Amino acid sequence: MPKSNASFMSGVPELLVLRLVMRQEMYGYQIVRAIRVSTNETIALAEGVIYPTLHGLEKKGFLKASSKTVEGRTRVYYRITTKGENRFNVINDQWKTITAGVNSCLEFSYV
Amino acid sequence: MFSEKLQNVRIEMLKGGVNPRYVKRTIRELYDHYIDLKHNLVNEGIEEIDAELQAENKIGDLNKITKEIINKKELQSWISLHPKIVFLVTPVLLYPLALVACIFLLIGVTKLSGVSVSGFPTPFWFQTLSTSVVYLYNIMIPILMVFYFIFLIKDRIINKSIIYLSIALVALFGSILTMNIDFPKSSEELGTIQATLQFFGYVPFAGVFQLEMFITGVLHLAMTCVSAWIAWKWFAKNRDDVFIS
Repeated sequence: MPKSNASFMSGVPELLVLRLVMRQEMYGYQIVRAIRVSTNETIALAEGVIYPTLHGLEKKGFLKASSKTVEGRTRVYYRITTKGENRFNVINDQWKTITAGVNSCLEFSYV
Repeated sequence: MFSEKLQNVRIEMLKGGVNPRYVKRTIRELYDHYIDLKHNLVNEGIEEIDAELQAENKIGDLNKITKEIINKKELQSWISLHPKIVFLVTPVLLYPLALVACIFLLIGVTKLSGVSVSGFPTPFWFQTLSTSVVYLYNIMIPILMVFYFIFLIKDRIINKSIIYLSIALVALFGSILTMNIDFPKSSEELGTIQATLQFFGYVPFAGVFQLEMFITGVLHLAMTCVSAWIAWKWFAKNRDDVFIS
């Protein structure tokens, strides 16, 4: 397996976060809820673990954070940057390649 | 209490060298997340005490979250990772560099403005500028350096001995390497810019002891320490967890 694929598999939260934030600005709690709902509870992260991922993505320039006050609560919202969109496209393509390869292997039968 | 556990998380992240900006944000976001979880559970009909426990469980293992953040190199603060370079090397390098810069500045001004070093009387504007540069170097640079160092540590956790040594180096080097300027008192004299290397009154190259320089050195030392104390009171605001042994 190429080296990049091994590190990619641990990048699933990154893939999901970038995809969700592409649609709209979200804060951490919203993102965790959205991951749970959109994956039909298949992927349920320990809620606090989202924050190291978000901060890492922001520091790398894939996300931009801003404080907003909504309904009297001030929260940190994250939105995707152009660099983040490019990053998403790259890892999304990798994911599709990997899943296609895995599916191919699962369906393969030796004669 | 969850907020108390978050304080431990904060201290561990600071000790781990995480940039204080991300430490503050993580604590704030974890706490907000916990409140959101608790409110949702209460709205579902769960007792408040149970809701608090469940919310804490849902947040996950705080130690694991802390380790994940500390392990992200991109969130590390260079100052926290290399405090000795910032706090100990900077004073040693900055004074000679600042001295050279000030001297070149004054020489540059004389060349550009045509002020003659043998000119008498020296133009008032040049006297003012020169005196200001001397005060900047001798007095303001140590004060600003000390204030800057205290400002840097106000949101961090740092080894106590490093910051004490740093302030001592600022005080020591500031009093060892001083700058002075003499304007010509007659048309036969030349103006001079002097950089003096002296250790509390003892001038090694001349082998003499000057009481005036000794007093100046002691005052310089006291001024730096007082500046550090003022900066500490101003920036640290009674934080008692800044230092680690």
